[in-house]
Amino acid sequence: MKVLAYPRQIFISSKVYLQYRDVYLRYTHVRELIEHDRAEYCSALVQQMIFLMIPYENLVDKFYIFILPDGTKSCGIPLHATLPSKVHTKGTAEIHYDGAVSMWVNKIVAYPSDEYINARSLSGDRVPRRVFTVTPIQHFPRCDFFWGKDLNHAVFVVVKNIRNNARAAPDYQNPKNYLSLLEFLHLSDRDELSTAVAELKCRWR
Amino acid sequence: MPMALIFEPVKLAYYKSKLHIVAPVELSTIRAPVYDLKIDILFGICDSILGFTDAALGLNKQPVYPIVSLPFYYIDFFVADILSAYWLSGRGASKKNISEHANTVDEIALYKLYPDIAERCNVDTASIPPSYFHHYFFDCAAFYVFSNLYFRICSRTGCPYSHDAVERIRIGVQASGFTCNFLSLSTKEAIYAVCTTSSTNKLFPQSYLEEHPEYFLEISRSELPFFTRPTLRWFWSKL
Repeated sequence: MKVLAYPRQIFISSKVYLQYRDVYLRYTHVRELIEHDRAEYCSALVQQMIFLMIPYENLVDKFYIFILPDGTKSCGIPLHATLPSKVHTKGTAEIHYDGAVSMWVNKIVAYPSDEYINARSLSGDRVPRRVFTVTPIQHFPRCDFFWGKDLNHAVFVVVKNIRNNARAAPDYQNPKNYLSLLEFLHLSDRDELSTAVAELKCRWR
Repeated sequence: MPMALIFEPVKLAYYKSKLHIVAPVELSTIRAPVYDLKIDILFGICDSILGFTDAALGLNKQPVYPIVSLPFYYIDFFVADILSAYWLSGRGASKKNISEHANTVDEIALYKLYPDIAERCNVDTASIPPSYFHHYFFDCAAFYVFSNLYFRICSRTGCPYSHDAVERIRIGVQASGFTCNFLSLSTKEAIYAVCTTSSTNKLFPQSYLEEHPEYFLEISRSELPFFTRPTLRWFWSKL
């Protein structure tokens, strides 16, 4: 699997980010695609991750909860960012840039991993979607926080409503399948990354 | 009511899908998950944050503080409750419009629980609406801690106290992105964070910071990802 990975420095210094962007805009994105195993063990690289959260209708404080096959509960789908390809890899999100040398992304197509495809909702139904298409207007690379043993994943949280999508299944229309992040943080058996996201995004006041 | 309880950190309990302030009298009986209220204070400067040495803070907990995290005691709550009433009334808020801001949740007003203290402090509790606990309470409480901390740092370091900068923050406290809040499960803390960015250099003049490295140090953005505290993560992602 090939994933998007970037030099660590661009995430931790806005000056370097701007310099990188100036250079980046002159070239295509192809050079950031790198084999996952290689990126995983390269300390100079940070992999772009997307954490896709699905809010209930326009209520951005209630999110769809996934119960994974091992019983772990998650408030979103973690995905490695990659570029569009004819062969779609599970566990990745294909980032569609606005243009060959643009940093703006206008579409993300997410292919959840098997554990999310086989997940159940809070009401016990199977999660009915294998592909999610969301249309954020964001520039990438982006990072809300670093994650992983060597902090080698730049996690960016994308909150996108799929409820109004005509293909959305009834399961996503059931408000019982959604919880606030405060409620999620008080569930048992939470996924570790979901907990970190919820701690960052949860507002108790 | 035992006076000692007012020197306990304010507790928030999770029930009915919300966090509620626990009244001191309920402390021993509450069965829900409980969190200590902490006020995190962070001073941002451009692409970095202003850290303090222990000589500047005198807390004797760690050599350097990238963020100042202070417990908020019931006695602080009491004082902030009263002060915020004066601050809001100073802004022309009438009883009527304060009531409009009042929360419907069963929050507590400590001046009711400790009428004897209120009396000794000459607080005119009759002038405070019954459901005074308003939307801005936590902002006012955070500002109260912030202003005391700033005064403490200035006293210890000799940095000139900028009354104007503090006053500007107080006036803007209800409208600005001055505060945020988080829940830290690992430390069992409900964090209310205060963050200054554009006003940091008005509070601590750059020339003074440079002249006193024994008290102040700049912590670059590149070092922040190594901290897991939600407040620092949030601030980092905003930079």
